[in-house]
Amino acid sequence: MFSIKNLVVEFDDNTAVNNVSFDINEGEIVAIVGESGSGKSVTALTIAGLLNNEARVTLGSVLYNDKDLLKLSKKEMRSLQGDEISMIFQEPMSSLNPTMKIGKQMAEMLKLHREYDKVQVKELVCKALESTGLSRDNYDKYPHQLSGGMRQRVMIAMAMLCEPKLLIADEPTTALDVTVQEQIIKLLQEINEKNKTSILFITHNLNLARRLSDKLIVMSKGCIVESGNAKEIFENPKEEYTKKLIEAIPKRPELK
Amino acid sequence: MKRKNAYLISGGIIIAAFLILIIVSIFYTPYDPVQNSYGERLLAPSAKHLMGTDKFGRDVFSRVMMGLKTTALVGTLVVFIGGGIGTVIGALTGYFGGIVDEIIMKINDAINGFPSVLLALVFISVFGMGRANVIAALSVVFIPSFARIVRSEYIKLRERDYVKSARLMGASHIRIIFAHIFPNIIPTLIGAFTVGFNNAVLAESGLSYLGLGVVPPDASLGMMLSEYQSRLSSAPWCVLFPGIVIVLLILGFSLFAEGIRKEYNV
Amino acid sequence: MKYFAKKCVALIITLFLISVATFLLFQVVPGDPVLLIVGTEDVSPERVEQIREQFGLNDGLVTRYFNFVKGIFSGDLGTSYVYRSPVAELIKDKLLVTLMLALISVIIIVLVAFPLGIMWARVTNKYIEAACNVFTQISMSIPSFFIGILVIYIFSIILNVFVAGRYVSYDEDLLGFISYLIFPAIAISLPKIAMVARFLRNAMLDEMNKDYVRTAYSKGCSKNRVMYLHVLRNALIPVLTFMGVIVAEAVAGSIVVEQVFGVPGIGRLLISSISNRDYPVVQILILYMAAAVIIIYFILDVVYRIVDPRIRRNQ
Repeated sequence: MFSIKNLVVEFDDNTAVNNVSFDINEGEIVAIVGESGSGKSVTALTIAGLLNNEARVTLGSVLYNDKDLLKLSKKEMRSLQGDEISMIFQEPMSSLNPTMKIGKQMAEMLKLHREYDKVQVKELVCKALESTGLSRDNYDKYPHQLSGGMRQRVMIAMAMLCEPKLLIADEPTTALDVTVQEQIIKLLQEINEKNKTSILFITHNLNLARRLSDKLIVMSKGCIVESGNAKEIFENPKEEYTKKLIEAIPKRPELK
Repeated sequence: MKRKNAYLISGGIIIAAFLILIIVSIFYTPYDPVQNSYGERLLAPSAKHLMGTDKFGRDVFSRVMMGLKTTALVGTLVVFIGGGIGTVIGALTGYFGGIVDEIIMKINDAINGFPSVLLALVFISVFGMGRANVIAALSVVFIPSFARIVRSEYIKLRERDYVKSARLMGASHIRIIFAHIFPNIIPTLIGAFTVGFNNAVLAESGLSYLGLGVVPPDASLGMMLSEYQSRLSSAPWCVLFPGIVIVLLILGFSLFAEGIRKEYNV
Repeated sequence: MKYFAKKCVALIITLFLISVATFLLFQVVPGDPVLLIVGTEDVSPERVEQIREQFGLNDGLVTRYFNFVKGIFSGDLGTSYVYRSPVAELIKDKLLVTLMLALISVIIIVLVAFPLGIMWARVTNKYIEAACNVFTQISMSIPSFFIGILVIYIFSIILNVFVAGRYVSYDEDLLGFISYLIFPAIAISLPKIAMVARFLRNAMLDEMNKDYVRTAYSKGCSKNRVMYLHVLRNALIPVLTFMGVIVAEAVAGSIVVEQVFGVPGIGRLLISSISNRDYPVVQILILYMAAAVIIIYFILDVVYRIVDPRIRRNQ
């Protein structure tokens, strides 16, 4: 469904992503693992169409149903963002607009991509909140009244409102404590099973990647080191770098 | 990196030019600024009279040099008196904290909220006009703003490790305040002094323009403007040049302050 | 609501303290008030006594303070030493003129500074950015009376749009009154426009780097939508606090600028009263201006709370 081909992304004078290719099939969970600066986040942002002005895609394509997303106009891309491709981020504390009510921020998603009346929108938003384990009263609350885990649930509920084909999760649990982390992972798994939503899961945590993903991609310094079936890689890593990463797990569960 | 220096350099050049002009004006002006010369009344700017002459035939440039001296003197003294007292208050209250700090800061905030022109007018109306009174009034008016800036720096720095270790080594409070912490706030202080100088110049020229600032025989740029304003249509140079000199002076210092701010990230 | 009540009490206490401070300040003024009142006239001791009685100078300090406060509420603001007429009558017309001038200035500031700041935050062209930078730096460096003089020079002498010094009274011709005030208002607002635009621009640039902006883009918001619906509202919160200072400065700025344009407002009266040492008038005017500043801050504080939900809930 998604096919990333020979992607090269450059910043001023360094190459952040160098010749990266991989596919994401329908209903699949793909995890990209790597240290910080390995280019995994930049890859995710490129697919989501969220690169800032300093970054340039110099080569390659991001194909979605045989359309190259990189060649779309801004307007065409906007109609896909949130609707077909949505994204959640690392910092739930700051990823929501502090002066806008939760309900209104979520409703904006529907306002942008669907044509419902007010009552329907409110109902859909409340249902979405409930489906992530939050109560409806959160509709009228402001982000600062919620805990970090709750905010990440709001982010997920919002991202799933239009039932996208692909959910990109950029280190969604890194900023949360362990028990909350567990709940969020479960939630993502549920979503994947129920809606057949593909998930691109970006993390530096190998354990999470192993538990969650069907396909694993190991990145370092902008290049793919190794990729393939997650279980196989864990059992039988071919590259030296991957071996080192796996060996490091018990000693340093939080790789940085 | 390039941009940061552009502010500092352009501000520095303007300030240096003014410094030279002021120092020269102490010993020399092209013409006698107070000597009337009825043969040369209201002459337009020329090579002989760079900024023209006024209705008494006095050379405007020489008068600007004289006025600049007063304006700069007032600005400098206000910054050093008001800034000095403010710094000491801010350092002590910020370092020690406690109830005294809170009370002083409440008063400070209250005063700080009022426009400085209004406050200066209150002092002037009570104590009267003249150069010394203007300096005293503006110094008092500017104490709170300095105290506030210095205080917040001290609050930030008193928790630093080097302060703690100095305390463990038995350094006295006074020594920590002035020998250990003070050098670290110098960049902030330079910025505050430059901005303060500008505000003092603005306030002084405003007061003098209103006829409530320095009194003759002292001359200041603000006073010249009010004196010459009625000649705006017949002899605009008498008004425009002194005004432009004030603008350049302030511009120089604010560019410099901006440069300092960018350079040291304060 | 509890917050509002608390704020109101604080406001009343502050106003009380200010009235005490202004009152006391003018009690320490050097010189005998009677000498100020009679000027150079040579008067008999009986006349001096009569004047002391008439101006209430024989009462004790506390009594005089209470008379002062009572007077403010009953409309009796005392008697001018110089004009020998009630202060209330002197300032009645002038108050409206100054309020109007300050109001027009604030309107100009808001109308120009906000679009300018937003445009400046959005623009990516280096030269436009540099132009904004130079314009604001210079405007902030010009003293308001010199801007006034420049406005007169450009609009009155070169362009002949209005006649400087020919003030039009509001009861004569309201439109003429307002259009005359526009020019001093420009002089008051120009440096403030620069400050507000700079401040707003920096606030918006700060906000644009925040995570929630990326979230908004990921939802498919257009740049305009992100800017106006998300960034602007958050950026306005710090700007609002700053506006308090700006409005207070605009009120104070009118003192100087009225003088430049010959506008017969509070500012001119204040200046001439200070020169004439007409303390009853100075006292009242200072009190009025101080109260105006306090009330401006109070209003903004309340508005601030309405706009920023974080503060609303935390206290």
